[in-house]
Amino acid sequence: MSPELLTIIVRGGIFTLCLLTAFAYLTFIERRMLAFFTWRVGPNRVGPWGLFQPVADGVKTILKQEMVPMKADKVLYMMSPVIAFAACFGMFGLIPVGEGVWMSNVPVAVLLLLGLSSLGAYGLILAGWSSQSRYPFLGSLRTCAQVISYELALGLTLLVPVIITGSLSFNDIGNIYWGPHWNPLYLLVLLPAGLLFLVAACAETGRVPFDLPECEAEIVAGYHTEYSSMKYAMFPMGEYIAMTAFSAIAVHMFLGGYHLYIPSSIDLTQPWINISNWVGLLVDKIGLSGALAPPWGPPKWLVPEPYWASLSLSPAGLSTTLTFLAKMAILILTFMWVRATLPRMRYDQLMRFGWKLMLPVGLVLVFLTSVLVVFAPPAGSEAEDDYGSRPQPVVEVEDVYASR
Amino acid sequence: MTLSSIRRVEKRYDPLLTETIVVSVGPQHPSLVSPVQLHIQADGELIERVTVEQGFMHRGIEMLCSQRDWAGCAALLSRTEWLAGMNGHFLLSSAIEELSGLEVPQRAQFLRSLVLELGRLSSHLYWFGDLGLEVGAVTPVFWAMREREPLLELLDMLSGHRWHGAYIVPGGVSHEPPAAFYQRLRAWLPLMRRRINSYEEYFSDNAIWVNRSELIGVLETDYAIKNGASGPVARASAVDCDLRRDAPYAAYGELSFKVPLGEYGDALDRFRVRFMEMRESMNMVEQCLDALAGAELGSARLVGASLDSPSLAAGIQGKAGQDPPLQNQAGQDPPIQIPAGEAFVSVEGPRGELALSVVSDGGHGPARVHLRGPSMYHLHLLDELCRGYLLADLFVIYASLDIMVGEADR
Repeated sequence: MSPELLTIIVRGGIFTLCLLTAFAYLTFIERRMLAFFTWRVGPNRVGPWGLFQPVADGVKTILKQEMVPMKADKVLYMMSPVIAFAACFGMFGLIPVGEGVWMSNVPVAVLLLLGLSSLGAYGLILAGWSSQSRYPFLGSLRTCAQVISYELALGLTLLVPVIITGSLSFNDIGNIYWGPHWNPLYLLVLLPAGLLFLVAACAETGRVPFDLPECEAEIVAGYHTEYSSMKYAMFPMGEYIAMTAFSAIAVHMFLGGYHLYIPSSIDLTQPWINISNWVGLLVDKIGLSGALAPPWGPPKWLVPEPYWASLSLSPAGLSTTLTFLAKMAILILTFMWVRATLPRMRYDQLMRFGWKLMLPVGLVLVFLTSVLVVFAPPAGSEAEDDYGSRPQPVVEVEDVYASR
Repeated sequence: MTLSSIRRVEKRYDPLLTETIVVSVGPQHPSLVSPVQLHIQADGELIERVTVEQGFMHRGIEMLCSQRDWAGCAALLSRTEWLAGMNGHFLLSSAIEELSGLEVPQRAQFLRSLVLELGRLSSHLYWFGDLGLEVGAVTPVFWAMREREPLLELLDMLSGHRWHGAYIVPGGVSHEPPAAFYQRLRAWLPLMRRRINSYEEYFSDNAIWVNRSELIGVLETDYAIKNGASGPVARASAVDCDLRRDAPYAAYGELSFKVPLGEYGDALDRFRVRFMEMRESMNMVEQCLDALAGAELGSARLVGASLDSPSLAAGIQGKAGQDPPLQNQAGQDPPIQIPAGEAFVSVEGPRGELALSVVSDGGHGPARVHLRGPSMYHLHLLDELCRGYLLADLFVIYASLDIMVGEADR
């Protein structure tokens, strides 16, 4: 077994475990947040501070009776939760969470992500279609229309950073505010694009105020009305993971990825200092670099030498991962805050909003970005690469194609 | 061209010959608090017809009333419209007073008005929380419940029951409220005024809510009058009717208040009218408090008035030790007779005109009771209001009508 393959398998396992835990605790955090917004306590019975609530929920969901509607199209009915779930999980396989911390470093990650997120919509549409029931049917109709209309705006907003950095790899796009890509004029398009992306992501993942596919006051539970037990649980799982994934994409695209910058001066051409590797800097500062700076990893006697490097975590990797998770947490909490605040839109208003406002604005932004890139090219595009500790992308796009 | 036809989508020629579907909503549905079944014939999401099937909550209250004594009748009536149960007590008490020719003291009249307005506030608060839920906002319902809690505690202080307290009794009110009641009510009012403003702003400053309710479910004035709409629903459609002003009962003749009217009769107007009503209610409560604190208005209850029904007499006894002594100890007074006859009384309830027709044969209880509740009429407005709107609008319209199924089914 080659080291690469083993790395992918082990990392895949770790990612899956982390994601499942993240989903379980996201539901818990969301419930506690909503409780906080509405003067309640929230789940606090199971375990200390209710921390075992997700476990109890999981056990309950698994032990529930499975019910399949008699008239349902059995194959599609069984398949659709898997599609929804797998597509959302797959999205995370493409997103690096820290320097060197990723499952796969795909040079065309953005494209693949858009594809996967569209694939996830099939799960929801088929679920409603195959249930042979009215509420799921209406829910899937709504999903269909909503996902198609907001995918366009979503893709357009993603184009803005892609045009600026000229790359489809998240590792490059994360550098957008720093290094050769930086030009203060880009903020003119990046800020609105970021806001637009958040709105479109809300719609894409079916969160309030765009939770029409499953709005409980109207169509009970939308596309998953007829699902029960674990098959039901896969839909919310997919939804939460998608929310996490879109937060991660937003961090990469509009919040500087896993890098951390601090403002240095009012010099607009290069106002940021990169302190992405803050753990390493901290260790150096304390004077422990000799003892702590080498990468951490599993015990050497457990993992043979050629595999060890790919499974270890350097200080840079650790600090970038923590930075990334913190940025992501802010966005996820924002999604939850929005849920506690806003009422739900109506179906036709949602469509109007998507097609008549978001899409034109997205198009204008893409056009503006193209103009900006031509007339105000990235600051250092001609200069030599002298940006200090800028993390180099591990796989260059050209390299991949050259090696085949 | 009427206003409603501007907005509504007419059925177009359909070359694909698509079928309409019938979506059956209820009796168990997340957004229907009480059970009613709506068969919605829809072309996709567009509603073509709504058929209301009711009776899931029929408890036979009118029949039960005619088999119970007067006290049992009062308890049953307060459970028809349970969010403002004092209306039922008031209806029966004033019917008995009409039958036996009792004159209620002035102080009791003011206390009755006070309690009825508190009931209206409590009911409208509940409605506004429910409205939030229908449009997918989860927070307002908790605001509503939070504001309602002190109100219910105040009602509990009066009668020992949060919802169905038999505070209004034939001949007045059961007893003078404790001093702490006045203090707490006075402290609650300014707080509530501020919060009502912020809650209304939450909705009316929110583009999503305004878009969802503006020109949705338009009830035209003529249609409202023809179909027996009353209360805030009729007033939102610019029908200038309010029993408190048109046929004053209790102390409403001496209170000054405005009757808020809507302009278009859409869901947004019904929402606005109810919020304005809540403000007016608070003004009225304040006026009642001033009147009660000021001049000598007589006793809170007609001395010597008691009923021959021991259970009602027992029911009006306050909690021992906390309340001021009752002005007349139940059971000690000579029982009054409720003569045979007929009485018709009506009251402006939180949802509209509640009326009660009672036939007494001189016995222990009523021989026949008939109740007129607004929810029945409003429930059957749904078909007209929802036609041509989307499925999502139905629930906004339903919430804006503030229908209480238990009162429609009885």
